[in-house]
Amino acid sequence: MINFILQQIVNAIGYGCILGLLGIGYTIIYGVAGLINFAHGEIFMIASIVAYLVGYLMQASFIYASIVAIITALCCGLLLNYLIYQPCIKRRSSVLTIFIASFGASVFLRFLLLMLLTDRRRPFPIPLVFEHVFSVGELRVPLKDVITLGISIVVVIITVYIVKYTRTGIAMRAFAFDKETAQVMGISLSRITTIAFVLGGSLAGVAAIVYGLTFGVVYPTMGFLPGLYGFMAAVIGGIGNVLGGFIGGILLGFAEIFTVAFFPPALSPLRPLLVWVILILIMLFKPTGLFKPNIKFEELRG
Amino acid sequence: MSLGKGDLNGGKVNNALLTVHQLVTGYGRALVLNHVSLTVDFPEIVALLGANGAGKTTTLRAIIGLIPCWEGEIVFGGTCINQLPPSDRVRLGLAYCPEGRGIFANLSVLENLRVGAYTLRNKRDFLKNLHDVFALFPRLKERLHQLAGSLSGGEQQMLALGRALMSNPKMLLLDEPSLGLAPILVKEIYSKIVELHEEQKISILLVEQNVDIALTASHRAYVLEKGQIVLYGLSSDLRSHPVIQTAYLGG
Repeated sequence: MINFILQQIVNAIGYGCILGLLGIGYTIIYGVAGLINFAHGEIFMIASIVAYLVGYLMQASFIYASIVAIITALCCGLLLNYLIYQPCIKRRSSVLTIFIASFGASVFLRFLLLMLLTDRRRPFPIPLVFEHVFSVGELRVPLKDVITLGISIVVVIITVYIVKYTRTGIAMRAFAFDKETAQVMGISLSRITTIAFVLGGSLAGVAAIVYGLTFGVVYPTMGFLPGLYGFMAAVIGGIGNVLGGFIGGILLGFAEIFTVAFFPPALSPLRPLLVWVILILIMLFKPTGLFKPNIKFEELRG
Repeated sequence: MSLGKGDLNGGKVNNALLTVHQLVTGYGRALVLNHVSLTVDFPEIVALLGANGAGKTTTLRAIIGLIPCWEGEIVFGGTCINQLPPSDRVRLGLAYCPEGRGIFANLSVLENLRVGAYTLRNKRDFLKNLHDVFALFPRLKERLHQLAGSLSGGEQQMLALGRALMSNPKMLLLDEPSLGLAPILVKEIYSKIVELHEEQKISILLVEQNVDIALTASHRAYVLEKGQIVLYGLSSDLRSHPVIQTAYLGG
């Protein structure tokens, strides 16, 4: 039993890292642009599919496929920014309009890929060496889980460093707090939101690689649920708070994996139940999330 | 004093740093400013006075670019800046201290100053400006790593001023620096404003409800009423003007 629980903890951390990386993407884009980018899960999905196309069909190495996938995700972020977000800002659209536009982009991308590729599950190019499994006592720790955890932690540290210490990161936090005053400090609205989309998009690309390594499959509707959970991770962690977004993701990973492990199989359609219960409880008792959000709260009400 | 060369003809001066010409603007469809013209010379402190809702803050927001200019022209340092976003206006040498200070409460004092220096590319300039700001406001140095939100009102105002100075501005737009401060602090802040004007040769356009102190600190003043300039002149002359006496100085 103890081994079973340890095994679930290993799985939960792996899944939690994916949600956490997605959560950071939401949190950064929301913090800076004031937009819940519903198409974030689709950026993640497209990056996964590109990794499959490059790695599996073109027989490129894993590293090469990963780099191409991250660059693709970064470009998707840029495209969303230029095709959807910036035009809305230019027209001074309401927040609701921008939400609906990003939701539209999400549905469009998902069904476009569904039309092109059908919903067949395709293999993610995992290098054979990654399939090695360590045995610690009776506990089985796959090498790829160690690698995904390593990638996630390194990426989170880099992101926290950027947001906390660099000139651009400080500008992003200032912008998240007060957009008008930040602009009169010389921070250009279009430039800083573009940077946020690039950073958020790249993180979705990293999440795609971590997901591919963990689950080994890609398909056009794969972005929906992780995208939703990533958003919830950002909310739970206090929106705008980078580390909070990641911890929120880990928490949801645990909730999800442990319900799967301990719910009777007959109740499997109820799997996401606990995740939503956690969200509702946190929103009831701590509406701003577990950690200090990095935005002014008047903006959420307005 | 070279400061006394106030121009009473609405601003046809050779060394005008900022010229606002027939500015019309507002929010949504509501007209707030109706053909406002004013100039600020180099180096000069100009006060913009008026009651609540007269359009003082709107004037500053239009100059820095937070609201679009419907009609008229804003010229800064010889460049028409009507169409430029706020960030470009800052690069040209304008700096703005918003009403209520607008400090970033979620950032530390040092981070606030770094945001103020966002347009600087050179680390040496940054350190030099930081040094100058600390010389002017030694209290900020003591609070360097404290969250700006935890500062007292007076310290926050010092931070807002210091932050605006970090970008090497040619001109400061100050919106109600006395707001919410105890009288003794108002005096202190104003003595700093005059000091930085004299030492760093920065022109200042000042919006203020506290007419007494604004007229004391400034060389010239404009009075705004319902979106129009109704009175302007040397501050020393305006002080004894009957309109100012009855409406703003209480007798």
